Amino acid sequence: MTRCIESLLVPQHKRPCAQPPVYAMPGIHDFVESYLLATLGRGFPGVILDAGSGPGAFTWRLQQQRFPHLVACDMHPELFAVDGVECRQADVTRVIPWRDASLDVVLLLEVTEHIDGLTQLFKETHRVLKPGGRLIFTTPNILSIKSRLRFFWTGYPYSFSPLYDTHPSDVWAHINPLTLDQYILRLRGSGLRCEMFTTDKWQRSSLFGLMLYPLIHAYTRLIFGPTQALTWQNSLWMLLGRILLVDARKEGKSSLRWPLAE
Amino acid sequence: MSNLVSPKKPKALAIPGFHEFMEQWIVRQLGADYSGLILDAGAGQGAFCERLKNQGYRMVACDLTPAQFCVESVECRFADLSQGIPWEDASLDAVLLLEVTEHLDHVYALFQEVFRVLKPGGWLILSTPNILSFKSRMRFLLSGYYYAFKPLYDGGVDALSSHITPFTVDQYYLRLTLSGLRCEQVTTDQWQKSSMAGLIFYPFLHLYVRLFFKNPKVWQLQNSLNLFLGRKLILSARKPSDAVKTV
Repeated sequence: MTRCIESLLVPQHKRPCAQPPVYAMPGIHDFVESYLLATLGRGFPGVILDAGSGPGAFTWRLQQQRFPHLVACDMHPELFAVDGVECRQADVTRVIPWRDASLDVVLLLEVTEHIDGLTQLFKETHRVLKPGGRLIFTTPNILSIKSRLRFFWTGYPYSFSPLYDTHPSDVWAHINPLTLDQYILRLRGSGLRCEMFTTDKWQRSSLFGLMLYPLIHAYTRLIFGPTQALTWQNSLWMLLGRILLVDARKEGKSSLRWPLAE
Repeated sequence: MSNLVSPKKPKALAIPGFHEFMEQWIVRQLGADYSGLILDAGAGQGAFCERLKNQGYRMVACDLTPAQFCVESVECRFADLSQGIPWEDASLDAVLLLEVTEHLDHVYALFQEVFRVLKPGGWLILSTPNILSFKSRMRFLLSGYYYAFKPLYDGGVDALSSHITPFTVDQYYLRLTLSGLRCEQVTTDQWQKSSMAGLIFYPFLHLYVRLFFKNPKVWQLQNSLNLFLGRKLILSARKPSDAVKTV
């Protein structure tokens, strides 16, 4: 287990108040931060793990918001640059290096589209979460109209690109394009229940495609009936949203007070 | 009475025409007098395994429910392919994964296992629904589901029979390459009539890619005519004969 603070690569981030480099698209971190503040409450006392933290730009934000118990893990903890937060080395496709039932919230921001074997990851998450604990993850929403049109014209959904020249060590490539129902299936298979899904903001380019909305609804209703395939997979949030956020929960009652949950 | 005496025949669960095509294609790939040991992974009742056995190939099989396997004189082991392939390192000459990978979550780990059990120079032959056809693209546009993929929301969905992993050719290509296998051929079994209607869009696909992307060539592989019209995606890959023991 590597302690990040002892192996900083980027000296300029050693300054306590500097924000580490942000690799996420503008707006994602703002969105997740406000979502956490709304659902956990300011100063939420539980342990929050930022899995796949990278340099820790989001961990740093949470630290600024005075969340007291933050931890992080990443494939490359040497990049991590937030003072006072422990970052462990972890290949999350295999194991999350924490004890059973030791964490209250696991965050996976823009991680799941980079890796294979999500069932294993979700099972690990289930293991490390306390009863009533939460998994909150974000990923590009490939169900938006923009993404569907892109798939129609190029064979690649939104935010996915050809992989033919991808190098094995390339951690940036998006390789696993799953839709909402495929995520929910994997969550269910790991014992987690999807409580809530939402998207960060509406894509302008998807708004243009909104004229397809009646056609999409008529077609989906025709072949699948008025099921969740219609009301979830083809909901307005999914058709217009840019980033998908899923909030799932381990069964059981948490000992902590959750503003919106209980 | 004769029903009771004669052994049970394996029932083919694949789409009509698919097994016929695969049989011919494999014979062409491996040669009619191929003497290597072939594993049919995820064999089901063994309908396809029996076809190849009748061609004179040496077959073994594995499945999650080996009890339903009913091909005489072919060994079928229990295998949960998400956990591994129960054969020794470098013990097989070819592995078939027909309509298997779309049911599994961890495809990369499976390919690593295939690499392990294959002898150097051995073959992997894989088939899966082609989600890049015009039919599939239209379905995804209008319903959020690809060809051969159905809603998974229902609590009662049986994970074994439902398709949960929608990969396109390049996502398979990447995982094959990363596990040390070398992709040899990409093809389809037949052209979908319903995709033919989309041929009017086909020139615009290429125009679109040419207009909007820097390196159009990489994008065109995904939009080849065979994949735009084809029903199944069929891939063959080989373990290089000079491969080191493990990745």
